[in-house]
Amino acid sequence: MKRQGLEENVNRFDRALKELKGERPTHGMERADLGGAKNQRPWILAGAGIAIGVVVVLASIPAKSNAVGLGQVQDAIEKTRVRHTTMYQVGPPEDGKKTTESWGQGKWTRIDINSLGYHTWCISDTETRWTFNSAGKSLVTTKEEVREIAAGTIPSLLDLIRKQDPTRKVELAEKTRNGKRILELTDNGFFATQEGKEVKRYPQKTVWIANADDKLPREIYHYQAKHSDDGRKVELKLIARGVIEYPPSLPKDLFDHSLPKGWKAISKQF
Amino acid sequence: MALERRGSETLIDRLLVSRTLAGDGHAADRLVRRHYPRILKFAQYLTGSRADAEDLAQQTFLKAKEALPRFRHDCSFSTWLHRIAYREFTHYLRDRKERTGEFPEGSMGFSGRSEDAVVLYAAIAELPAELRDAFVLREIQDLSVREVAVLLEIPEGTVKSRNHTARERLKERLAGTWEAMDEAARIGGKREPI
Repeated sequence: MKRQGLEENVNRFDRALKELKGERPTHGMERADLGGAKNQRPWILAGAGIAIGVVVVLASIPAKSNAVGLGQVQDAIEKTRVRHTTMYQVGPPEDGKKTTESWGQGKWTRIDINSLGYHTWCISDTETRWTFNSAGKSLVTTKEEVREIAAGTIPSLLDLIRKQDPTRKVELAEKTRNGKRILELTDNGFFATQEGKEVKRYPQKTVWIANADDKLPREIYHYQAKHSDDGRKVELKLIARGVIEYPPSLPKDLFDHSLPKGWKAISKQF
Repeated sequence: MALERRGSETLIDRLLVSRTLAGDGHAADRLVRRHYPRILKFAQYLTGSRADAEDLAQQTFLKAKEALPRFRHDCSFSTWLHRIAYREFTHYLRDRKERTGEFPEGSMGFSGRSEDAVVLYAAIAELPAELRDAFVLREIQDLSVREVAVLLEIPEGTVKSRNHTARERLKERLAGTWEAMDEAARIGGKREPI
């Protein structure tokens, strides 16, 4: 009997192992729906920053001798993975707080959503240079208009985007989803990458979903084209989904922007 | 059959590598798409964190791009990528000073996993790092003993013994867990996939 039990366990082990061997990491909505991210990351904030019309240089890496640039590899990776993060927002406007604050927790820095897209840090480990959206609390007061995004409702976001770029294609619609009324703001635009002197434009779309009652954004979907804006048919692919939550308080170390050991900020762009 | 498959995969990779080096952006794109899921999975087992795994996988491909002209095809492209990933992981460890993979259940980016597989996954996470690395590379990532030996820079015999020890420990540990799970299922009804 004991031997039979052992054999059963061996078979069970092999089946479980085979399952682990054969599985692939899931992507997109399937993965996003598994629950909150362990490490909240700043990507969606970058996406949101892009959504308000700021060109974000994703990788300002010097051109190499090889014809295929790092940027292309980067692009391929970016297209392969779908990112998910959770953003938090504190103090909705109904509370009468002017200084609504939000953040995304990244690996290297924490981002104050008040500075969305308005400045980036180039960080170097002496071999590779990256440009990240980042922020320092001291900058917040100089960017009051951005604060509106953090604190703002979907209609105020619409006004802001139109104010910044009147030519931008932005649409606001009231819809019903799962029996609930929602507001859906669709912002069609572009982002750019730069490698050396070559700048490429990529079509993108950001969709903000809000509860129709309080009009506060709860979800963000960010789509990007598979290829640059070079005349080919545009096919947008979901690359990031953000969930905005409204917790009652902020952690004390919210504005700790220390970089990892061995890294240094090589430039700031405001 | 497996060798045939590996042979044809190597040929495809060789072609894609040479085309990438010649400046074909689509070939580079295909190389990344072919290997990214596997490297990401490996990174997830190493780091125990989805976010860190994505960074590690990305860093692996960027390093690979830089090193591609020096790739001599003395191993498969996949093994070469695994080697880079592992080296980058050691840098990651050096930066972190310690290995703190938490392997949170359900947040690893896998879905539809059976309960047995979840339990096995958790048990793998608790193995000592040297056993885990050998076991994951050999049994999950499906690399050959020789490839694992090259990658971990240990003799082939050590790969086999570590893999064997890991298997035995896992089976020993899981026997009790499965017994408890079966008992719980008998009391509480059927199990659902996680």
